[in-house]
Parts: sequence; C-alpha cells; structure tokens
Amino acid sequence: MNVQDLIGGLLGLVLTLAVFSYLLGDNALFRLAVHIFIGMSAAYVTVVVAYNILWPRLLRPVLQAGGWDLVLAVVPLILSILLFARLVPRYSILSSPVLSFIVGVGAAAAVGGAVFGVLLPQSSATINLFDLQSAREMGKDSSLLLANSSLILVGTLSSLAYFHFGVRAKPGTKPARAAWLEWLSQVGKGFIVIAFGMIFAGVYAAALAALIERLSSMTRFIYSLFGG
Amino acid sequence: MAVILCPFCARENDDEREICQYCQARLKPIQIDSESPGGIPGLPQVPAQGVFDENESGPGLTDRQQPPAEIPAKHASEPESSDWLAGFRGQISTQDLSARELPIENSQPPASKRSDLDAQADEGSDFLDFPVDAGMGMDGSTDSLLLSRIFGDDLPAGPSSQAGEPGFQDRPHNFPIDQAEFAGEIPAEPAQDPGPGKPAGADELSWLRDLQSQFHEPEDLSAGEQEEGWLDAGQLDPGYSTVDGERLPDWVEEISARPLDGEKSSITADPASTDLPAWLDSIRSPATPQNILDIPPDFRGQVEIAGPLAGLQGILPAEPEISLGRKGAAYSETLPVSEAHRLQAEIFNQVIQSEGKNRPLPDRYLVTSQKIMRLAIACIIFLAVLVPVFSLQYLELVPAITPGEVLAASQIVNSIGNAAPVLIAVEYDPGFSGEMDAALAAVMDHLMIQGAFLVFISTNSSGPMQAERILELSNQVGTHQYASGADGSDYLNLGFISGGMAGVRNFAQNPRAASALDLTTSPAWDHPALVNVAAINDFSAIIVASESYEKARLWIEQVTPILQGTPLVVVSSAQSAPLLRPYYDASPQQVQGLVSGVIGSVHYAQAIGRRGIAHIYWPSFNSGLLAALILIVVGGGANAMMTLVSAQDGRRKGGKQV
Repeated sequence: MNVQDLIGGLLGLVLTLAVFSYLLGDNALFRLAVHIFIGMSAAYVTVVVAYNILWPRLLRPVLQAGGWDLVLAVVPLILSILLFARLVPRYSILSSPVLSFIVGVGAAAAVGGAVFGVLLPQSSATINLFDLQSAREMGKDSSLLLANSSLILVGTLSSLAYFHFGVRAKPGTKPARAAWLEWLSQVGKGFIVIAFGMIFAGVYAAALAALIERLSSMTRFIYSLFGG
Repeated sequence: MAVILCPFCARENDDEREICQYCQARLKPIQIDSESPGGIPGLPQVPAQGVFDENESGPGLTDRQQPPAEIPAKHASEPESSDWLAGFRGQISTQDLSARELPIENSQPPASKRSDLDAQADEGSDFLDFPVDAGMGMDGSTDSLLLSRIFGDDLPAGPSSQAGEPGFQDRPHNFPIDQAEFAGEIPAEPAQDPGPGKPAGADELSWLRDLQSQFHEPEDLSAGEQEEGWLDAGQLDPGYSTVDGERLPDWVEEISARPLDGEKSSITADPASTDLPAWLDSIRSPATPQNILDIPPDFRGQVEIAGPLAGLQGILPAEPEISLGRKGAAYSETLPVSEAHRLQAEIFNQVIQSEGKNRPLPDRYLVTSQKIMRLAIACIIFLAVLVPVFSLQYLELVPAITPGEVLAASQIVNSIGNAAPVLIAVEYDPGFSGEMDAALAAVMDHLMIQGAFLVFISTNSSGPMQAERILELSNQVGTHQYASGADGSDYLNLGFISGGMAGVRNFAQNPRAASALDLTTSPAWDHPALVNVAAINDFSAIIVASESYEKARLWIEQVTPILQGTPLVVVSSAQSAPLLRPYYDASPQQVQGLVSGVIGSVHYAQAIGRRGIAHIYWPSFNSGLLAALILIVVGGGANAMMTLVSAQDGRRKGGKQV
C-alpha cells in the first residue's frame, strides 16, 4: 500500500465514521464531515467549470482567434460580463437581455422536450397497449396483453382521477366529488400507494447499497492495513 | 250621567270634568268671560259642539258676543288657559314662526328685509295669506287656532262670522297677535311714532288695510276702522317688547336670550321630569330617546334655536353630537385596558425582551426512547450487512430468471461491435456511487468485453470524475484494461457540458460543436473511432447512468425525439426505477433497456455469465433487505398491538376510543 492509498483510505475511514456518528445525535464530527464535503464539492465544481468551460470555451478563443472568429468569440465574453451587472442594482438592467435569452432557451427546451419527449409518446404508448393485432403478429398472448393493458389503463385513469379535486359547488350542500369519481379515486389511491411503496423500497435499496459499499471499503482497508 | 268624549283619546269622561282623566286633554273650551277683567272684548267664544255631549248644550254664545268696551292690556297674556294649552300655544307659535323661515335671531329683520317684505305684501303674494286664513283660528286667537286645527272645518264659525258682521278686522283678540307669527309680514311702519292727535294704530294699520283690500273683505276693512282701536299700540299687550319697531313676545325673547348651554328652561326637556299624564307616563317606555342616544343632561335643557323646531326644548339632536360646538371632553392619557389585555401585553413584552437574551439550551438527555430506537435499528442493519462475514452461503443465491429490461440491455450491448462508439452519460453524484458503480460496472464490463469505444459525457460537474472512477473499477473486474491516451486510447472523456437541458439538446443536435474538446482540453473528435460520428445517431448505443429520475428523464426528453434507431439504455438507481419503467414499457419504446441498482446489476452479470461488483454486495444486500423486512413486520405488528391495547383501555375506562 503506497502512501497515497494509505492517506486516502484513512481519510475515507475517518470521514465515514464521522458521518456514522450522527446515530448518536448531531455532533461536531458530523458537522465537520459535512462541511468538508460541501467545501470540497464547491471547490471541485469551480475547478471543473474553470478548467472545462471558462478557459477552453470562453477565454482561449478570444486570445487565440482572429478575424471573424474573434468577433464571434467576443460575443459570449461580453454577454458573460454583462451578467455581472446583476451585482450592481443600478446597472442590473444590462443583464436582463442575457438572462432573458437563457431563460427563453431553457423554457423552450423544457417545453419541447416535455411535449415531444414524454407527453405525446406516453399517451401514444398507452393507446397502443390495446393494439392486439400487432401483439398477435409479434406472437404475444392477446388475452394476457389485454388484461395487462386494461390494468395499466385503469391504473392511469384512476391515478389521474385521484388528483382531480375540482367539484361543482351547490348551495347548501357540502362540496364533494361525484360518487363514481370518488370510487375511481380510491382505486387510484391504491395504485399510488403501491407506487410509493416501490419507490420507498428503491430508496432503501439504494441506501443499503451505499452502506454496503462503505462497510466493504472500510473492511477492505482495515484488512489491507493489518492483514497485509 | 252625561259623559263627554275626549277629543284626543275618545274616551268617556264625566261631564263635570274639564280635563280628560286619561290623557289630560281639555274637554271644555276655555270660557273667557267677557265681563271679567281678563276677558277680551269681541272675543267670540267658540262652541265646541263636537266636543260636548248631545245632552249638554254648549255654552251660550250670545251673551258672550258683546265685546267689552276696552281691553285691559295685560289680560291677554294672562294664562287663563291651562298649561297644556299654553304649551301647545307656544309650540304652534314657534312652528308658525319657523314656518315663515324667520329664525328667532332674525326676529328683528333689518330695514332692507322689511322693505322686501313690504314689497311682497304689495304684490299680494300668497305668503301673506297664511297668517290670516290658516295661521290663525277662525276668531283670530291662538286658542281658536288650536281648536281649528283640532276640529278642522267642523269648528263652527264665530258668531261674528255667522252674522256676517265684522270678519277679520272686527274680531277682537283675546290673545296678543303673535308678533313672531307676523314678523315677516309686519312692516316697520306700525312701530313708528304716530303723529300728534292721531291714534297710533291708525297709521300702523294702513299697511294692513292695504293688505285687507287685496283680500276678500274690503267691506270689513272699512267697517273695521271703528274697531281698529283694538290694535292700538297702547292697547297691545305690554308683554311684547318693541325692538326696532318689531314686537316680540317675551317668551321668544327669553328663548333668544337663553344661552345654548345654559340654564334650566321653563319647559322641561327631560320627559322624566315633565308633568306627564298618568296614562302617558304609564305607557312611556323607559328607553327614551334620550336614554338610547345617551344625550348629555346639559343638552336636554337646550332650546332649539333654528329650524322648524326653533323654540322647543328637549329636541333630539338632528346632527351628531360631535358637530355641536362644545368643549372637548378631557380624556385620560392612560388607555383603559382590561385585565386580560394587560396580561397579554405583559406576556408580549416579555417575549420581546427575551428575544435579545441568551437562553440556556434545554437539558439534553443522553438516552431517550427515540435514540434507543434509532440505535437499535442501526445495530440490526449493521449486523445484517456484516452477516455475510460469517459465510451464510445461502444468501449468495442469485435469481435464475433475468428481467426482460435487463435482458434487453444485455442484448443491445451484445450487439455492439468492436471499436463501435458508445456514448455513456454519467449523471450521478458521488453519494450514490456505491449503488451506481455496482450497477454500471456490469454494463461497463460487458462493453469492454465487446471492445466498444467509450465516450463519456456529463451534465453533472462531478460526472467526469465519476466516469474515471467507474472505468477504473471496471478494469479491476475483468482482464480488459481500458486506457486513455493519444495512442490507442480506448475511451474519451468529453467532460462536463454546461447548460443543463439546453446543453443536452445542443449536444444531441450537434455533438462535435457542443463539445469539441475532451477533459484534457484536447481536440476530442480526432480519434479514428469518432471519425464517422457527426450526430448522436452515429453512436452505436447511448447509455445513461443516473440515480435521479429527473436527470434520466432529461436525456429521454431531449434525445429520444432525435434518435433514429440508436438504442437508449438507462442504468439507474433502484429508487428511480419504478418511474423509469413506463419509458421501457411504452410502445414504441423510448428506453430499450433498463438496469437498476444492485439487483439489476446482478441480473445483468448473471445474464452475461460474469461476476461483478454487485456480486460482492449481493449477500449483504440480501441480508439487509431481510432485516428491513423483519423490522417492518415486527414494528408494524407492535404498533398495531399498542393501538389495540390503548383502544381497549379507553373502552374499559369509558374514555375516548382510539
């Protein structure tokens, strides 16, 4: 074991135990470990952005380019500098066009992706579940596929019905959903509970995997430290 | 016995009574004896026929029609009538006074106004008709006026009228002509000194005669010259004062001279102190307007000095009390707070003061039930994870059936040829590397076995570092040794792409322009394996490794609309797998393969016949899941038992059921 591995292993062991000390309650060791992680993350992000973005994509083209390339390279630099105007309220309006451009592009990408990447394909997929002819052509059992498709359809509709809280108010009566909608929402609640149970199991499995990885790493280090 | 019907309350009274025993209204008219000193010559006594019973003849009129030779000046003002009638008289006079829009303060109009009034009189306006026809009674007296108002047209005319004898002018006046009533009409001339040898009343009545000529009794005017002496100034009631030629009754002067906040009036404003009839007092509600409105006592004695109710006392204020010119009330500087308010203010003050003070932290108990529970659960899970140390071999059994999504992913990777470019998006944080490394290592191992050219990219700042780490771990699993270098490099780390969603979209549309340099800032696309890669569809496969559903969805949303036949495989954490499953189950599929968590990695390695990192974790993972299952079952059962026990206790004690 070289020195680098020894220092890294020791740091990992100590910081892991510091985080585990939270089992005894909030303490200085835990806070120290958290602060170290936050500081390291921020520093690492800064280095990555400076090394991967600012220098190769912003500054170096300005320094190395010429002619029209220089003009094109200066534009991002100017826009980036204008963002700093946000720090001075008097000149903050100078950064508005840049921010507007960023927000507009982000919104367009988000809306376009949501509509064409999720909404329409998922709606189409739900409809196509009942394409039994294609299922037969693919050699699938149509009755089983129909049952599966029906279950998915009921789950989808009932889950959507559960989140429908609109009621038509009538004077003198307590606002309530229609009976059939209430029944459907109760079915949807069952589907949602099952989904949440799956998510909880997944969260526990992920945390358990992380714990196993840490314990495995610690035991390996200790074994290598004392057992050679 | 004959009875008399009260004209006011219509109740029967003994005929001997002059005043109604119920409402105290006068039952018999005032009998003014012309022979008596108080009698007024020429006063026609009105027989109130409607008042008396049929059996009773009214008082004889013929004997009283003869006016006395002269009128004692003071008799007219002497209260021969009762007090209640005097009160009515005063009210009527005051109302009539105000009806002519003559405030008491202005009861002495200036000369200009008098001239205007004269002009109006000359024009014969209707304004002057009122005092003669309606303002006075049929005999010109106030009592008759009152009776005429009570009985209306039923009141018989006076004998003089009936006889066609002196009408207006020859009616003697047992009550002084209300100067206020005629204040607006009486010009100043009568107050002027008459000429020598000429009766004062002659000039004074010249204007009145002019007016009379415009009325319907010109003959009475001429005939009245002989009786005009009854209007002589010398015979006028000395109770009138003359100011600037205007004569005002004493009571008006008293009202005018009375200060607002002043003294007790002769007319008591307070109903409680008024000498009310018994019947009225019995039905009078204790909640008088004064009580309701809480009129100050000093206001009750106030006399109205303006408006139609001028001269009356005890009038309810028409305006808010605040608008009256009074001395402002003195208020205490100390707020009147109740005891509850004081306590609340004290508590609030203490809270504010305690904000600036350092308070000792509450005692921390080293051992609490929550802490014990937490430690117990942690110990159980730790023990469960460490159990594989004792070589429980049966926990190492792996499932024989491979899930379809894992099998599809392995088939996709299996179809990738040697040196085929594969894009791998490493989108997880170091905190999830324990699970994600295990999941991705199996796929990476397979890709390395296939000899694919790996291209790493990430929208996460820690992604490039994670890519290097997973590559190192994968190298440890198998015999393959992927390395990066100028010569014969096996992978390319494009590093971090900024812009988030827009950056991914930009990269999907034009990878070369979006990420021209690799992690070492060297030109990225010069490698022979990437020569033919100009778009994202030129990759053999795209693998997205993310612990977060949002990051995986970002790639699915931005890339799948562009992809044309290029498979997309997602390696995810177990917590996001249920949310990503619909993309795999969709038809057409948006995700062609899905490997999630340790379980997916084990399945994947099992499918390709390898043992990866996940197999190292697998025994501990199984025992940990089993421990969690036991804890959930035991904890849930214990909770249910406690609930049942507490419910039984509640029923036994008669308390509220749980």
